[in-house]
Amino acid sequence: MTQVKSLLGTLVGWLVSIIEIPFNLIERVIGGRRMPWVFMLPNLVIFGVFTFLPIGLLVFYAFTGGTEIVLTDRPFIGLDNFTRLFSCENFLSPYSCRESMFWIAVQNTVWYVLLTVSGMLAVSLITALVLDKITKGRGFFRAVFFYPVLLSPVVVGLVWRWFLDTNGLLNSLLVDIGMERIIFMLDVFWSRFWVIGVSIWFQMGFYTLIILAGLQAIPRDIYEAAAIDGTPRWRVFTNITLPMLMPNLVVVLVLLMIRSVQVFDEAYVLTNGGGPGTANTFLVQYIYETAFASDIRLYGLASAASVAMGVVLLILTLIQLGLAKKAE
Amino acid sequence: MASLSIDHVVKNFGNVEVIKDVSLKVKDGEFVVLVGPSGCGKSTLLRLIAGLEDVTKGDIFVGDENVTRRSPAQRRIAMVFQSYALYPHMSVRKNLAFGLENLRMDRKEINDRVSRAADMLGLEKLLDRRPKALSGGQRQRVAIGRAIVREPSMFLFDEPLSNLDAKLRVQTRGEIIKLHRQLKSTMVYVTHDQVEAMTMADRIVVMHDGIMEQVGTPLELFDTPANLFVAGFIGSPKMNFFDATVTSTSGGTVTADTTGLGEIALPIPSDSVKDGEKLVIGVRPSHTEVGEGPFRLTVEYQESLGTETFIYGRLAGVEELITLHVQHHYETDSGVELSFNLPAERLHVFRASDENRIPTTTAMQKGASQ
Repeated sequence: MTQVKSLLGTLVGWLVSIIEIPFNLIERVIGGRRMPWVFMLPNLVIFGVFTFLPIGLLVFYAFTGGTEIVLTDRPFIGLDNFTRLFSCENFLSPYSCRESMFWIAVQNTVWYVLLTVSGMLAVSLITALVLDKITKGRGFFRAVFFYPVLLSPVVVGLVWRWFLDTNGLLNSLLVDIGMERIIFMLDVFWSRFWVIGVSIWFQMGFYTLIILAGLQAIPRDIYEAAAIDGTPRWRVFTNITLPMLMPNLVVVLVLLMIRSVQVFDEAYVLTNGGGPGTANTFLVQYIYETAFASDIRLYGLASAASVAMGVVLLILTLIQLGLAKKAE
Repeated sequence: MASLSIDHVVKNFGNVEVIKDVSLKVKDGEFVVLVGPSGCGKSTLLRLIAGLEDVTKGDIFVGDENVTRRSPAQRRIAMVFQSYALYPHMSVRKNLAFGLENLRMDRKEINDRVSRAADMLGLEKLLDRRPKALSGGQRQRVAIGRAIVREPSMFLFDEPLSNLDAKLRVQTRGEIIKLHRQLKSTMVYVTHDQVEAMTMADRIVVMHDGIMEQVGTPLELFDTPANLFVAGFIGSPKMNFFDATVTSTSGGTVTADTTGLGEIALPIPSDSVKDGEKLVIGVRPSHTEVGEGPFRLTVEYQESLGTETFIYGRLAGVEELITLHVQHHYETDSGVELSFNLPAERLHVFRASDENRIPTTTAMQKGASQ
């Protein structure tokens, strides 16, 4: 044992002395104060190549035209792509816009975000409040609610499509209890209802967990002080629980909004491509189809739409963070 | 204002009985301190009084009213928590007013009460600050203020000074005593610090393992501890204990062979013990007389506090360290042999079998003369 230990020690010492040589050399060339950059380099390279470079390219593409994918073959066209996206007689009426599909997607996405964010917040908050109260089986229920988060969005889409199919599980249940079959995915209301419902089912476990962590971080004696102060339950919730949960709720809101605006895969699979018609065509689907799924591949236009979406998200996030800071 | 009566209260957590048949009466306006080591049940008893825990058996009365099944708010009590439990997202003013708003009190009345409490506790300039912008002492005063504004029938304090530094603790202790005199309210105060208990209480309740070991004024507990536990717990440094066996009860005098001290006469009636009975003799360090006397101590180390000195050492054949006290600065060194005396009238005698005190003749005489 001691022999193995001493062998390991020698090996480590040998490795360290080998690594030391190039680092000593680098330090001599660039100076000790710049050494942290050397250690950060691997991360910076990964971030640069996989995050910052694509963002830069995206912005660049947004200002170029044509259908070629190679950048050098693409002519610079200034703000033309943005002008095309935003030329509208009436922004509330998509068909008056030059790029009507974009505005239909925007409108669908706005509704989806509003309903999903409010629905998800309410459901996650209520679930977390219940889980916080129960003492028995909390771990079990937490796992049950979290489980869908582990699934692939495509799997979620497929499973629910099977559930909601004309001959699916839900319809056979409806028939069993003497009701008419509903062709959910061909009905505008029902298809939208299920897209939002499935999204909430799919991701609520994640947000519930964040809110539950916040609830459990509120000291118990604050609730006891409130009980001695004779605070009614509703007032405890609105005046103590909610304000003290605010930092977690802001995190949830920001994450939720970003993810909702980016809705694509599970909705695309569930609605078989955004149907019925364009009822469930969302912004990312528009970007995807404009760039990769149409006969004429308009990378520039799709990039412009992506940039616009990114800017809107950034502004909304900043507003939320600002409000949260003010609330503190 | 109101009296408090705890009547045969039992509290179980699962199968564990943490409060074992406790009964206590607190008079209107009295300051009672519950003291004891960690886990003795003192905080649980306070929480039972507050209504934050349900009583398993027994009743609690505030005034004449049985409040056992009442909610905390209905008991008209106020509580100051160890962690202060201030609402962190509210200003000091809002913290003070919150409980009154629950009562749907008139805004003017709320403002009046908040200003009165702020004035009393010196919080006027802090009213618009959040708790995180306050020091520990200021937070503590806000917590007390939150209790005062409600004008409760009784104040409960759960180790309110334990998060403060030594200097601030002494200062706040004084402020709470002053507050009690000013408000003349009933106060029940929990602490593990016996100095706090001795300096603040009208009466002290010493708790241990869920039972009340003794209830009495600070001096009663100091002078006539009911058993070995109270004797060891009250007083700092701790009382010195010696094992002893009764050797003679004849001629009206009791003598005992005491480990490390030899044969000594005990100040107890001769009919209270039997020959050969095992006893424990106790003497407080402050009652030892260093310099002359029949006993010898080998010094291990000393603590000089400037105005007084504590000397720690061993007696021949005794494992435990013995503490002696000198009322001035005293120079000695480890290994030095010191002579000391234990005045017979200052000895405490306990039966080894049940650890209870045997009344001494001096205490009985004192009792008779009162």
